[in-house]
Amino acid sequence: MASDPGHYPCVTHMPLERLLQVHVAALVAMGALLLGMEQQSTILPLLAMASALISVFLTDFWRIIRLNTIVANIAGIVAVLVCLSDFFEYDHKQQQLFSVANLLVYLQLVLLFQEKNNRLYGHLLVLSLLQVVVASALGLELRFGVLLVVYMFVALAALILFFFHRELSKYGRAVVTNSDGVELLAKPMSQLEESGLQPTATYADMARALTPVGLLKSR
Amino acid sequence: MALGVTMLQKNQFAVSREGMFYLFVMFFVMSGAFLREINLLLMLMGMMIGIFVFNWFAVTTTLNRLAVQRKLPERICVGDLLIVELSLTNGRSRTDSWAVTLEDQIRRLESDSEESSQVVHVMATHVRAGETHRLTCRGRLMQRGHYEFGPIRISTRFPLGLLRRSIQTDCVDRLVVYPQVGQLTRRWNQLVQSQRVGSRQTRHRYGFVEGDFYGLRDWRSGDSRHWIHWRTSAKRGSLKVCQFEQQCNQNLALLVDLWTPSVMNSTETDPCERAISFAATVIEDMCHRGGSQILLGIAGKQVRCVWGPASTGLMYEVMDYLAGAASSHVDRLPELVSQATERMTPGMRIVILGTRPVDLSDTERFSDLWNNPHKRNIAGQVVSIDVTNVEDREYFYFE
Repeated sequence: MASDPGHYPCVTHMPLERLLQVHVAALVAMGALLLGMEQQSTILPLLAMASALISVFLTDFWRIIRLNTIVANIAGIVAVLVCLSDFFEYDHKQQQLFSVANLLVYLQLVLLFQEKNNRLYGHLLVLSLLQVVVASALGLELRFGVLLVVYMFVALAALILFFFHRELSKYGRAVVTNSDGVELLAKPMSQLEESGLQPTATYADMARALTPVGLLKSR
Repeated sequence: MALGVTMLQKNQFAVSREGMFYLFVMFFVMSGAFLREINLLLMLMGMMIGIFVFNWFAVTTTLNRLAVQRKLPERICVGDLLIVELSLTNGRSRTDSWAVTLEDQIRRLESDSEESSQVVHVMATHVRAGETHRLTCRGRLMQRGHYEFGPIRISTRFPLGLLRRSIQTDCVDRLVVYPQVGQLTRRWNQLVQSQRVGSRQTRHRYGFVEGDFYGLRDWRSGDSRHWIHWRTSAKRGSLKVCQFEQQCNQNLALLVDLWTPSVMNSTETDPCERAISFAATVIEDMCHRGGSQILLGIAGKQVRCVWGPASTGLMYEVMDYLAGAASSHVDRLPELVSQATERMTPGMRIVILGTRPVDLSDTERFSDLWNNPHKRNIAGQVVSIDVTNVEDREYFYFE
């Protein structure tokens, strides 16, 4: 039962990185929602949720929109300048804190539309956590606490997926994709290969052993 | 095949880099919660502590009652595909193990530098309770020598990567990588075949042991039915069987001089490696043929002689030594010649394989040889092959 792949077919057949991308997008949306609840604002949470949803499809799944480093850096600088202007405009400390928190959201929006690697996933998770910390410092409502508990479980799932993604990338045998989309071993066993041993299992081989139900329930 | 079984020891706990950052944020939240008395921050802090404790519990239980076993061959040749199998057994009856990393060390014993050691990491994603998970790593070892595998370090950071627990085992195995074997040419075979020298003659005997075809004779009781030559038997009307030649192979004394200049051009291929491969090929060929006495002498960092009838056991002994043979700047060929000539038998073919031209007529250098009237006769029978010279390609080549 614990290892029955048919129990959750839509989840178990979804590649590991796809699941991670969905969870990270959900965290970004929830973090912005928690922050928006305290700011009494709807624009920023809606913008964040819409961006998270769009980026999952256009950037992560279909790879249509991907900001390069230069464009992302320029966008980040613009976000910093906008928030700085807000920061110095307000005298009230709470408003200044909101400006800083908004910067976190803007930076997340930029990162969402970049090609994801382990570093970017880490940045998104950290920024989301910092948003929640800021929101917790200002929040007073019961529904905030309830949403915080939901956020914790989603964050836990995201962290576990991120852990496996990092480990499988690190310890799986390197594979490259050629122009025809065929996956090839990055270091084939040629006679002239330099001395050394490599693991034989690839990322995909190891990911097949992962089943969400198995994680929750062991024999 | 070597099987290394482990006893677990040397337990270590460490906070990872992500864990350090997590603790920093948690401390920041904790201080804000206590200083400002904010309930939600306290709640958030409690959640973060709970997650950290959950990670600690998971890494503690994941590695309990895990056993590691390694399977690898005892000996291979340079360039052969090496497959090392690591088996991870979960001895628990209920809980599975996730994301267990095995870190195996490979160290060449002949090398002093730490660069010669390599660490291989493999990960077992999921090891069910009571089951064994097999992991393999493959590669080629391009340097001959004696290798030591192990110890193996088992570690995990499951499920969040904030903490790492590792256990070092004492699972250690040895592997010998023999020199690369090439091909001998016909000219070499002619060199070591028995020759008509004076009163000595090659004796071709027919015998029960199959060798080269020699002739036909009448069938006798006890002959194998596989030897019957049916076509001739049909023509003659009586059974005729093939006879096979059993030839006495030439005894050989192979002396290898592994001298190397103190400074070598980095673009030059090491001639000592070629000499060792040449010697290994000769020994393997002769031991497979059998029927001869072999004396192998090596002048490198040490002088050593190995001798005996050509056999599989002798081949392994010689290959083990060749695997670890090292070159030297010191001229030890005279010492080798002196030692080897003590053990040579009459009629032995003597070949000196060296990394430079050898002039045995140098009475000063080979004084022990020329001062001994019994050994002096040997000097005229020696064939010298210089592997740095193109001429050695006439005897030996790599495929």
